[in-house]
Amino acid sequence: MKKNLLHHILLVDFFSTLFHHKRRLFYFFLFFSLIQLGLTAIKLEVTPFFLYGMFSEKTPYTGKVMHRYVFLNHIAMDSFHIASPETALLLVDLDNYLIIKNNNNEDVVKSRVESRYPFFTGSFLYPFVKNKIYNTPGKMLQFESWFKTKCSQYTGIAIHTVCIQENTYLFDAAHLSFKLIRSETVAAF
Amino acid sequence: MKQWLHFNDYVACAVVQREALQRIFFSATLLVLLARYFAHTLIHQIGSEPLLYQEIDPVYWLFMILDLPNFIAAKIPLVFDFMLIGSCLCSIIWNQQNISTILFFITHFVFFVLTNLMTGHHYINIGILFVSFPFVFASKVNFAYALAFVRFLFCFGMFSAGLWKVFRGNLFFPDQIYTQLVSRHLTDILQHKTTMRLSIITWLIQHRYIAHLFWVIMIGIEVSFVAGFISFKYDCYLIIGYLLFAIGGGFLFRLFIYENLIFLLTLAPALKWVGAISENLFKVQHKRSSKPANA
Repeated sequence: MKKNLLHHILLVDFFSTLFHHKRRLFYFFLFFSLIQLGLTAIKLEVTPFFLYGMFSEKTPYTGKVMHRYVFLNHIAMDSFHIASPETALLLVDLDNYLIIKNNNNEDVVKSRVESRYPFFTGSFLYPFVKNKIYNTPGKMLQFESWFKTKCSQYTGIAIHTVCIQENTYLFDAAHLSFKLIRSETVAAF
Repeated sequence: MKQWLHFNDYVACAVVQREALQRIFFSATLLVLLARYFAHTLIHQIGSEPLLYQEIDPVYWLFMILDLPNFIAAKIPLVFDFMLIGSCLCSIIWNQQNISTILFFITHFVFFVLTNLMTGHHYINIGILFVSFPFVFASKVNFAYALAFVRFLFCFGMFSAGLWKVFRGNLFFPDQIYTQLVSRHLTDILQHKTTMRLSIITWLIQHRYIAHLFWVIMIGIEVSFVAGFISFKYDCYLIIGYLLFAIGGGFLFRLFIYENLIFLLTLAPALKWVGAISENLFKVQHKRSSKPANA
């Protein structure tokens, strides 16, 4: 009776059928499932075992919002009407650049790994791989050049200077109004 | 249509529809690749991006240790993109072999990691990555089992995404959707754009508890995918739920998960629809071929 009830559950039916007819596939899928569950439990992502926790981290509203403006040859990037996928690519890559720049040109992944995973950084393997798995300060200069090349390609004109400005506003939702409280140039190259 | 109760019904249908599914899946994939081409996000179009998003993922680290991003993006970008699109095309044209599907699966895996390394560590769009896997099997039965497994992975992804939000206290946290709406539409609000969508978004920003209701509904849809582990009975509702989820995500958060719509092919009603369509096509072809040559 209990067995019959269990077999009405699709997942049980699936693994039971596999076990009886395709033993190798059964072990492969079972192994895959266990790794996926185990890595989810310890919050580690190893492609193709993904963590599906995006947008789950609480983001409390502070009343302040930050907006980043990019100026190409002293003209706002919006004025060039670059298509949205290209704009997204540029802004996402620029975000990575600024995060590393704000971390004294050291890769933030390096800072996180060295603070969270001492068993890995203390292992014999680490000295051999650490020069390969992080973005080095030298890459920052290469990025600046790559970014200008991409902007030139997307805008159709030669881009010589890039300036990034961050404005912080107080946001009044009731009136949909913004009050500028801070403006800062965070990078220029 | 008859309702399926057992796993064997699903397998039998997938076995019969293997070739039609291969054509449909790879045609959809080709469209996604074309969209990427027009968005300038194929490897040869991005070029060799110096700063990489490796995150804490050993597979990405392995790619960097082997210097694959530099080798592929700088030395053979056109060859690589040609392999990706070529293997996809071959899988559409010759749908009874699995050599091109294996080549596509491997090339696309590399493409997935490379583009993520160069354009941000995104893994929201994983439909092609997973659904291309069953097509590597030459045996139709193994294909059917793998397709069913991908269906479970799809349900797991959605269900666990809902659970993450519930366990992190997001379900009763109205700030979450509020912050997302403000940050994702900030540029348009600052520029005082006047689109219908922005009017709705700003109304939701001003009525945060109604916006939160949408958030709860979206979490509800995600959690409801647990039904996919229990029976095929609810697959039709899962399709409707996922379409609503995709439309909601696109409208509210500008998250276009169009590639993941491919996952819907693994759900039972989609298999039946493919069956019905290919059966009708077959009938039409059969009638044509049975006509005398001089008719």
